[in-house]
Amino acid sequence: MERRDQDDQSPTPRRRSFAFRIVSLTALALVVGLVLVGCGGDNNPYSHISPRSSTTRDIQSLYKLVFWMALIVFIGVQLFIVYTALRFRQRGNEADRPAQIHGNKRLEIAWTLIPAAILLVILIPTIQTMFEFSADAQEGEYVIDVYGKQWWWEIHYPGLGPNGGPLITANEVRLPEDRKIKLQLHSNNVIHSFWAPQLFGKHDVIPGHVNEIGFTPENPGIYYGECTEFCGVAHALMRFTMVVDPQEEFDAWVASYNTERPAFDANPQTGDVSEAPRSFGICIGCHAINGTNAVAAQAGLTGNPYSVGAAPNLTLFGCRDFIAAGALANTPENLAIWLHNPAGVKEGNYMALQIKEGTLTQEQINELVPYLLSLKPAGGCPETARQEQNLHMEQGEE
Amino acid sequence: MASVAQPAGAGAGTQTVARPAFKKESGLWSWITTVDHKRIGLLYGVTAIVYLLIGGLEALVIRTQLIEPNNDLITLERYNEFFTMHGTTMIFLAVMPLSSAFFNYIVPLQIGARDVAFPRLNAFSYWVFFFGGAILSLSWLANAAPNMGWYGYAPLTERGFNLGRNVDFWALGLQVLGIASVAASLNFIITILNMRAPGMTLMRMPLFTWNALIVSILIVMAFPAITIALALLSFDRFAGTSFYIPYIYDEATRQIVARGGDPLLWQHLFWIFGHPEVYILILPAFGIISELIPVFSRKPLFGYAVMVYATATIAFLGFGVWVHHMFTVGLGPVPNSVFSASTMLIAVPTGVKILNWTSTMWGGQLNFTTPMLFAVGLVSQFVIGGISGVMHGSPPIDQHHNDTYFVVAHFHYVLFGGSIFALLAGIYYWFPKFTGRMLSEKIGKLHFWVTFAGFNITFFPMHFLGLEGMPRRYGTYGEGSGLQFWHVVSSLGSYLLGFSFLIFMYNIAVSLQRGKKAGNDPWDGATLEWSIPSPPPVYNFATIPVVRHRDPLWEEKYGQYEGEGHTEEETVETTIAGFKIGEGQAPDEDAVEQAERRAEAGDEHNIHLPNPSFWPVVASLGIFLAAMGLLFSYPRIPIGALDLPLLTAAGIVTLIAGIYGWSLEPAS
Repeated sequence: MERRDQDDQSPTPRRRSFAFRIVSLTALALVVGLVLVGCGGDNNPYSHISPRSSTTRDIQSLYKLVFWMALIVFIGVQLFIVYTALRFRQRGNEADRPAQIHGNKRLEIAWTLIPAAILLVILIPTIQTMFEFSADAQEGEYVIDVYGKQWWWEIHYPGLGPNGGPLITANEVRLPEDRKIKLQLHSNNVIHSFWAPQLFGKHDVIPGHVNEIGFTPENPGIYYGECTEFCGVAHALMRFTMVVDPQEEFDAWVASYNTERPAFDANPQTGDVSEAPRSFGICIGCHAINGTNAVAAQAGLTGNPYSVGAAPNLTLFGCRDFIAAGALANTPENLAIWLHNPAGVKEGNYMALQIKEGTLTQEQINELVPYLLSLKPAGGCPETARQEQNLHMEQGEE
Repeated sequence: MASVAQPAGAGAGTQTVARPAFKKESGLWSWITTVDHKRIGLLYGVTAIVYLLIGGLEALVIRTQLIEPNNDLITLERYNEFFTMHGTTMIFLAVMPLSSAFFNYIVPLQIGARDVAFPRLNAFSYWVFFFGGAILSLSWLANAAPNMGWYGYAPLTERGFNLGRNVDFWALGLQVLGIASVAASLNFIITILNMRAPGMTLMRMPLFTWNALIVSILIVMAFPAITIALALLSFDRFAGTSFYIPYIYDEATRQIVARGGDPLLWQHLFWIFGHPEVYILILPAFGIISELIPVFSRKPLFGYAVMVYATATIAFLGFGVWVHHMFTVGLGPVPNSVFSASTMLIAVPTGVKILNWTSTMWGGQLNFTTPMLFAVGLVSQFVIGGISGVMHGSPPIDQHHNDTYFVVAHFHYVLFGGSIFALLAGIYYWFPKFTGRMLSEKIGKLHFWVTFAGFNITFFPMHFLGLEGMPRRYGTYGEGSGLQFWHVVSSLGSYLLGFSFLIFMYNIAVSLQRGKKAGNDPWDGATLEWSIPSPPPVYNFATIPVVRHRDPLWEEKYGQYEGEGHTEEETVETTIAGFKIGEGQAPDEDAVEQAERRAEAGDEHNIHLPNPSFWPVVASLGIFLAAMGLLFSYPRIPIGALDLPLLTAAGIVTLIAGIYGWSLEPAS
């Protein structure tokens, strides 16, 4: 039998311990990083380890339980492996083969039962939490319908809109503070998933099914959300915000959404607040603005499931923080860029089928931008959420 | 003579006795027509490594796109193609066929057989796999690479949302690959059950062969689910059915019309395949590790029976956990509880394996060769993937983790830290058997440490990205999202990981030329493949060995030694964790008789080997043409009501011709 050349086969002890030092240092750094990230909340907009509702706090406490148990198991097993690897490494002078052990009944039973017990500790609160969540989703003081589109969100508040119909908005969910909210998720196109990490976990938005989320926003502020089920070209640019205001401010927003004509000072020809500038004519096939003559566009599930037809309702557009489902911040410059060439900002979007680069002249864009940004309530946009958000940020930094 | 006993007159298995000379074959034609399991194994291996490198390059493009926010290195549409093809390539064209390569090459050697049960079916499997990979790869040339994720959730795959041929390339490619996988698996189940050397009872089988058997059973049971799912999808796309479409928009009446389909049907069918697929990817790795760790610890495997039962349990439970991919679809708390429990349960046998491997090392004389480094690397890194798997086994936690980078981190720890580490270990371990030369240990150790570092720097930060809310399948992210730091770290790590594969390629290139000669048994192996020359002769074993021990070669080298699996007694007990669950006749008497019968039948002097055959290639070419005809559907030929694409018709004729020629061809 051919024997190995020991010099070639095994590294010198010094090199080996160097290698193991690398491993242990790397492992230590990673574990420390994990603990820091696992425990320290932070203010990243999509972080799901900085819960801001009872729902996400429930998930967080479950996560912490699992995290610490996982960390203990991880360290225990890694120590066992590394210790075994170091202690029993070949030193090159072994005369005999080691004892030929084939197993150990007690040990093998122990490490079948102990993991099972650990998992049971995780499973029981898991099941409790799930049933609580399920009960939470049954009721809501405010029921809100969310329609996933390619690639934006349409939000309906049944009964809050004109003439007892739905109030329809897009990509920005305004919510009153401290009320039980029930979201109903609909899609007539592909599957999306609705996730605002600080407020609630993911729920898929599936054609032919209606999923429900129950939660209570506790603090005014702006919360960020995103689509988390792959839904086509612009999946990464399908964000939304949830803006939580005190009840009065929310009510005022609802009222201004329905009754107040948007302030309009960009159309000197007519001076008519109910009419958009003529250049807006190309938009009204898809976009509606309450209180104007732009009300033709389809909404909700009545639109073509293949995504053409309905587009975001632009009422009070001037108060929104973002353009095109979070693709750009809502500033005059960005709005001009968007209107100039939507495809350049958000690949694949359906507006780009109509508005190509050069479709709108610079004059038209110059007319549209101030008009769209002027779509605000008479008394200005609700500001509490923004102020509260800044407060959060400051508290977080301390 | 100890365990590898030879019938009267024959030399030891290690010797090549005078034989009627088998013509040494070479040249392209010999590779195309080969039915030798070893050559087919090498074909699988080389093809898989090519795809592994392609899939790796795709990953590097993905990582480069994400190195800064709002990057426009590639368009979002292109990005979608890259992540879809990265996943599809790695799963179906790299890891699965690399496992197949080892099954093909090693399993017949480990069980003391001269080939698989159906050598031409084996060749057919390879060529169908080859053409299936070609269909997927050609999609790039047709500018229609699959772009809807490797899991292809309906209705995004329906024509209403995906008009191009992208989905069809993917669906037909996977269908063709499925034919290859199922054919190969049936072959291996039959081979392992029927062609073991005399005396190799099931509970004396090497663990790698056990895992090959269990994986083959998994493939045969899991692939029908995806075959059906893909067939229904193709009906939806080609024939206007609506299996996954709940309603459509009727242009004429401008109304929504219910069609009765359900997107969740796809998800259930896909994951009933998809979760066992995870075990199809990882169990061969476990098998390889279970071979290596005992050899380099110079100790038999700790708890052999428990390891076998744990593998079988994992495979069985693997069919009962698919809903944990669907915890966010709203199935309700009862199904989610059940599947959460089954998911956590599967961690138990997996944990047992980790501890049994470590216990195998305990008290041994560990020789940290490159394959051993990769093996121990797997044991350590797989733990991370296993633990994070338990984390999102809890549905409320999964509502956060699902479809974020936390899951990406998790399954790369399982599939890279698990499967790829083990496959690399396997290549280092069996390369001497394949080629007769050792891979350089010096370069190999460098390769391991660079891989280990690159792997962790790439994938560990993805946990943090997931916790910070970075979703999967995002080709871009905002500047204000606070995600860039860990994206940069991960991308830099991926370049290091990419570099490690250059080291690996260099090692192979250099060692093929100048590697140390291996001899039969460079590692002091325990299993039968090390009893024959490297590379083995066409017929493998001059004389079929008789097996009397679980570690037959060790017993031959070191004489009788204590322990389970060895039988002096007339009865043997079957035990789990030391508990007796059954009892049977000692197999050795039987084995000797069997061997004598074979000797009398003249087997000893009459090695039957099948002739090379090109019919398997013809038949698989037919399948390829038939699929391509559906993708490029012009010109068409009208046959009655059927309007058949010409290429498809030609493909069907070729397939029939291939099978016809095959069945009339004399076997040897």
